[in-house]
Amino acid sequence: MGMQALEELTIERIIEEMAKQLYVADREIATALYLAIRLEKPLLIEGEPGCGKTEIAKVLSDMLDTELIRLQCYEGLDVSSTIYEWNYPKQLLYIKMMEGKKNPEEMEEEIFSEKFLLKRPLLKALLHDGPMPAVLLIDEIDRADEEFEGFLLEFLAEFQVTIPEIGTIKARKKPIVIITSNRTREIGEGLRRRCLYLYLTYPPREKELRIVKLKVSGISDRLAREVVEFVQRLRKEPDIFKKPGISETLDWAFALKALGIEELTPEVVKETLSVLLKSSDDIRNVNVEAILAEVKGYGGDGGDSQAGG
Amino acid sequence: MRCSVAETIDAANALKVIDLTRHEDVYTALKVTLAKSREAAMVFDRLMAELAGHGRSLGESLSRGGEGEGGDQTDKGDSEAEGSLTKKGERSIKASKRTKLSYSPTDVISRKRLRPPKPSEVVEGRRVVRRLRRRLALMEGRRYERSKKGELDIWKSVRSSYATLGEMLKFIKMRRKKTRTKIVLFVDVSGSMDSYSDWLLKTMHTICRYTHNVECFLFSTRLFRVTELLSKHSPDMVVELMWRWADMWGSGTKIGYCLDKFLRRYGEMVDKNTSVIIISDGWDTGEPRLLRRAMSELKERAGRVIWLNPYADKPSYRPLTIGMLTALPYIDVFAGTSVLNDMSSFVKVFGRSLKPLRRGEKIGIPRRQIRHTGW
Repeated sequence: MGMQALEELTIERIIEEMAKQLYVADREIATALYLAIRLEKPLLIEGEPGCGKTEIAKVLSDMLDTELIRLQCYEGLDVSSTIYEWNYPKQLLYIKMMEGKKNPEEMEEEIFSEKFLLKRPLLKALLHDGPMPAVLLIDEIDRADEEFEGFLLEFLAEFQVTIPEIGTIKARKKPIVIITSNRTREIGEGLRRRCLYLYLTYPPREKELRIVKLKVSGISDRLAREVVEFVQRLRKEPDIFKKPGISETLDWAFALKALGIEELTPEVVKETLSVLLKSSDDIRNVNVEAILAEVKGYGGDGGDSQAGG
Repeated sequence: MRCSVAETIDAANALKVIDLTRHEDVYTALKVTLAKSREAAMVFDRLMAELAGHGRSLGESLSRGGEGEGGDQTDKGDSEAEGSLTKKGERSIKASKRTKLSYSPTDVISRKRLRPPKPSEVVEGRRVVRRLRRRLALMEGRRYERSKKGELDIWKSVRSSYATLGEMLKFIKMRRKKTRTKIVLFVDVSGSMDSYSDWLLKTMHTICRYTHNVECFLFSTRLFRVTELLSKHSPDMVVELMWRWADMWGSGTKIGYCLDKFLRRYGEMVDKNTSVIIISDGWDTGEPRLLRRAMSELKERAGRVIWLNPYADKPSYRPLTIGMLTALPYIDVFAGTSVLNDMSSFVKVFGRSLKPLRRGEKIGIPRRQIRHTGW
């Protein structure tokens, strides 16, 4: 499994390998990833919630058979939780244990070594030593403060950090950096400029159908088509505020399959709608019967339109 | 859409590692290296479609651009700049309408009127805006940050005492982190607001250029985001660029529709720490039902809703338009537009205090007065 060297990577290969990891990547996504790896540039991914932004990083690390290092961003993120911290209790214990057995100089050198360093995600990514570079996922960067963004800018430019007691640590192998954002805050111009950029949106019907069939094994053809068609139409409804993403579609398909349902009926949809829509207003505003009627109408000549597309 | 030299180099490097015979790969390679936001990506798509439409191959067009042919350059500059303003679907409509509307009479009037603001006006405007921000500050924030003075941060102090054998030698203090107020500004540029266009331009420019965390939108029958345009260009350039979209100045108004569109597309911009400022006369040709829904949602999401109406400066003003009456229950601060002009008018409405307004505090034109209007 996996790839031997990054050099043999091609766009086709990425699509193929990602499909093996149950991720349906279109050529655009694959090309963006390919360029991010080849040019050693971070890839900034924005898009609607639940469209597989984070998933890309996970699949990429599986595909390259390398470590996924994840930094979940939040307000108030600081150096000690992103880069490193000394493991003080361990240092103290060590000093106590070695009292009288070692001379102080020796001890000092030892307790300020990598052994006593608590490595946080960014440092971990630098120290990663495998044959393949690590995948560093900086998730939801829009939740972190602007100061952190500034710091990150520096980090991504140099791929090195300085620890006073040890010195400067440079990346052994530049990690593949994936940054995701939900656009709750505009990301600064500087960071944008340094990254490659990809915007993910809801997938077209055919692609979503392929995703459902691939991910939900054993789902009947009919149910898969009806589920996807229903969700696609639901996204077009003007009264829905939080539109369901692919992850919701998949959750719904799983739920329906688990319930042993073979086809959609208004009752079934109403009972399970809360999997798809996450606010009571949205659930109230949906005209399930009307959408379902359209779905069934489409399903009738589904074969034709499939062939046509 | 602006591309730095570094980005151009990236694009060239990207082209080096892909198969140049595959059109779609070249397309994506240029897109991910040059278009760095959703809006920019959309502009990119349209530019490429345009190039394809001209029946030239990519290579040809690029070399033509390189020769610096006048016509081609202006054409490109035009559409590029337009993209930073506009959004998907609307762009194509606009592209087709632009030529059609360039000879409309209202358009000509607006073009004549627009002039860049004078420096003296800008200075006074800045003072007012700065004061406004202080008054609009919404909350202290729930998060704490490290500081020299303030409460003791027990958790961090204990954590740092690990380094000194559990002896707490360093006391780490914290205080509430001040969250910056965000402002979302909506400016009505429909026909009924035509005589205020100069003033509108000046106000938008002052607010966007001299303070942070501001988003600015123009609306008439459509909604346009102009934040970038305003914050990055000089006043003269803004006027110049505004000319090009003159078609939206002086048309009808669909406030409800535009606000609804905003909530759907940019809804995340508004939270409890956001003050929404709408500058409009409330002449709405859209459906009141839609306006009511949008306003109530805006009110629910935003910390404060402010409506500035140019007519409300006159003491005899009564809000009688359907749009105004519909929106009124959801407005916290209702006043005339003069509050943004000079400090004395500002103080009349917002008072002399520098403290933030209380949440939900209603100021401006007294509501009782409004109820007596026979509505």
